[in-house]
Amino acid sequence: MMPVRVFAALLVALCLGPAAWAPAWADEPRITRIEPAVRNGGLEIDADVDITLNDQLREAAQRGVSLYFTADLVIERERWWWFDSTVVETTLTWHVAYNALTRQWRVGTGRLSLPVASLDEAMSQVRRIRGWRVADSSVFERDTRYDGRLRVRLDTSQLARPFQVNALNSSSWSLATPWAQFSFAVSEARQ
Amino acid sequence: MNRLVRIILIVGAMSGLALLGLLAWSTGNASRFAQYHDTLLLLNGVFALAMFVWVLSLTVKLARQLRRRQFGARLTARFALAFALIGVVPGALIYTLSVQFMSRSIESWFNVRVDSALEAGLNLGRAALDTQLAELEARARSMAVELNNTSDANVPLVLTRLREANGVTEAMVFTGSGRMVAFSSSMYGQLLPELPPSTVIDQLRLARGYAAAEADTPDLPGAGAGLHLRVVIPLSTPGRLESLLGAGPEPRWLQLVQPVAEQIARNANRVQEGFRDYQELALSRLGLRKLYGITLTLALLLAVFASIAVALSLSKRLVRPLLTLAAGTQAVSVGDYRPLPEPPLRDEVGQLTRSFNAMTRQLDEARRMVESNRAQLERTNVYLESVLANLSSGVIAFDEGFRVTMVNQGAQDILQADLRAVIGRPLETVEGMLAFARVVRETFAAHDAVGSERQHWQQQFEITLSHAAAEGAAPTVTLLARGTHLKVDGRGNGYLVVFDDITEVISANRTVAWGEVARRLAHEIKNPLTPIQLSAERLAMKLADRLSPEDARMLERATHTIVNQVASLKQMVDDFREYARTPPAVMEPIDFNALAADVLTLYGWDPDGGAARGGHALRLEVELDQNLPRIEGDATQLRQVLHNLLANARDAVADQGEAGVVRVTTALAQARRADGSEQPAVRLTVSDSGPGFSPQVLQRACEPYVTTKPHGTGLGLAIVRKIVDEHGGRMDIANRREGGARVSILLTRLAAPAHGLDLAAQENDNSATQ
Repeated sequence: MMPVRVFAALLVALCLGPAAWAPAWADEPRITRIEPAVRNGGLEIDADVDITLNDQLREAAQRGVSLYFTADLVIERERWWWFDSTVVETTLTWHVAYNALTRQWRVGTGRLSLPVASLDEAMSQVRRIRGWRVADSSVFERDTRYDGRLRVRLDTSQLARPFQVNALNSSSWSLATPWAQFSFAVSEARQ
Repeated sequence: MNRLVRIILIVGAMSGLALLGLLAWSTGNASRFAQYHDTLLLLNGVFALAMFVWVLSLTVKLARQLRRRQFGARLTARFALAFALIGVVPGALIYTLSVQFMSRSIESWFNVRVDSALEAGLNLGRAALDTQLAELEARARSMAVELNNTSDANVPLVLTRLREANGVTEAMVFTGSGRMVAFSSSMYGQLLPELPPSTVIDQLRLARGYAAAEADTPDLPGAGAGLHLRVVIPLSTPGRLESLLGAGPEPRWLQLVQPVAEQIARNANRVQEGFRDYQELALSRLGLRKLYGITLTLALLLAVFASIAVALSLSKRLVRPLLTLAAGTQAVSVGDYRPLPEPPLRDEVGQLTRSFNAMTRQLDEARRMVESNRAQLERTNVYLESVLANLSSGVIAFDEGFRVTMVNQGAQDILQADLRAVIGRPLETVEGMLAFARVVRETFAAHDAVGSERQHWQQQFEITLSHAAAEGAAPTVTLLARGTHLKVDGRGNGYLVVFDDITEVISANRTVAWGEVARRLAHEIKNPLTPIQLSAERLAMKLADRLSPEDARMLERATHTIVNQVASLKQMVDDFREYARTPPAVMEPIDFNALAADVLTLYGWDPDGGAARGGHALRLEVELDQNLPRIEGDATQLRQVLHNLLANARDAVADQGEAGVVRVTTALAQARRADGSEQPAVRLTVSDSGPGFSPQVLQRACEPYVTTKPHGTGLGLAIVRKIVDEHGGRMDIANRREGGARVSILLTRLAAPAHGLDLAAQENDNSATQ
């Protein structure tokens, strides 16, 4: 009987450092859940992000300013003899736009975009990250601990220059979650 | 090193300018440097910080120099302040103006009219689309009426017909579950129709209808400006009853899609994009102001710091040559005349330095010349002083107030007083100088009063040096003084008195004069003496027989008196002649002891017995030094000397009888020469126990016709003096302490020793044979 090798991700730890300790500020954006999993031969990330737009951003979006949200993910492997090696470093960017003429919202990643009914609906795309394939599972060694961190932020670098300057010293234009730490190991499971 | 620093500075300034330019460039949205804006901002900030640190360090250094009061720091600070003000104030002014201008102008871009115009444009586009949508919806309803009564099988045909009839681009009938019933399109390329997106279907469930304009390719904002209209309305199914009764047939929907005319779509999109850009800008105007503000501020900071730094270093450079000059000046003030290193630049500072060096050179030369002049003057002074000091004449200089300014050694010798302490005081303050000072003052006053044409006066006077009196008698000196009023630069500033002790000159003059008188007298008197004597003797001889014995005795007495007196007169005349016409001395080696013994014998001294030969003879005490050397002298004259001295002594003790003692000694003495060395000499001393000289006589005892004796001619000592002078000897006349006179004669001309020994032996033989 040929053993069917299926990888199953074993969540070793879920360490949501800052989120766990800072519940007092409900408005403060944070990542509430991260779930790495191996599906279809690749590592996919599911995560829930508690991020709400403040009034200024909302107004800007409704006036047709395109907002970009970016999720940064870094997965490292600890090396005691040198700096940690970076295994995965990738980003995912959402584009939220409003067409004032047709009064339609659109949200999408990359070149793909979908019409959505409202801004909140568009934001829910950002809040719920599902099945973000970040790497092939083959890049991970078995039963080795990997540390990862994730954050979601308003990507001001894609905005117009004045907004960038504004974002330098304006808190309402520097929307970002702190880095959320997590760690995992990939084990081989037999079925 | 300096070159390297300069290159680094230039490179730094260039890169700073470049950074600033890039920053300004990158603030534009469309710039290719836009993405480096943050980096440039950071670099500029770092640059400004570096400049600030540099400026701070320079300022602190300057402040420390100021606090230490280092030379030149104040000038540097003043220069730096001025330069910095020149740099900073206009910069700050321009900065303030620019910031104000910028914020005002940015605010002025955004006004309500533009806002509402864009809004209106957008609404216009919307309205246009709405109109078309309404038209499309009307067509859809008209189509729906027909389609409602069409069975499913016929729907595709009817749909195509209706679509073509209504001029709609795309028509589709689908069920609520998403199954397509029929599809018709005017575009041939589209084989597989797309079902409406899920959002539309969601909305259909709620609103039973959908009408909206949609963008064609919304993936890229701004690109592909196409628009299409989509209208979805419900269709009543033909089997309505069935559906009501049965399990519920699916609802059917008619969708019409019609692209908006390209021009309208494009323009509407333009309006929309413009609106969006405007909104973006309006929202970001604060950011815009910040952006320009930050850039301007950085520019200001860079400019200000650069200008301050340049001001500091420039002022230092400007001041440095001045400092060098000042240091040179200080060096000159302490006597360092080394030339300064001259800067290679041919500017005013270099010229100044060269002039300064020329000045120091000239100063140095002048100083050296002054130095040499002074040395020469000092030498001259020393020479003059030595001349004055060696002058036998006395020189005393007074100032206008008759305070003594200068006295030479000669004056002190003549006045026999120590006048060194009198400089600056009147001469009267010295003891014993009262008479001299008074004479001098009076003579000057008299000379002035007379108003003589002559520049100087001359006066001869005698003063008594009472302070210098050694024993009893104060010496009186005769002075010949000349005085003149010193005039320097036509202005009287003192008096000068030059005087000589002419006592001895006068004495010599008198001697000469008396010699002349004596010679003439002798000549005139001697001639008649012989006839007188002969006449008297003849009278006596011729008349003796003819007179009575009584008269004859009287005649004899008278004649005898005449003869005696004539003889006495002859003797006197001879004396005179002797004095006046002394034959020149014939010098020959003499044994002085033998000579003395020879003469002493005549006075009753026995060389063998050593004592007087009794009777009324003179009581003599003789002491002859047997070791006397032979001397050069005229035996006859020296014999005369001894005779005169012994006769005087004898006369002096004549009244004392047995008590009178005359003492004669010869001795070998050491005479002190002018240069301090000593030479052997023979001293003869004749002293007596008589009354001695009276003070008046003592001073002039050697002058002719000065005598204390009733019958003396006064020529004895004068002749002695004359002979002694001719022999180069010295003579001293004094009173003995125990009473009586004493005359010492020092004979310094000795015969050559070897020759003298033979002569002495010969002389001894001679004397032995006599």
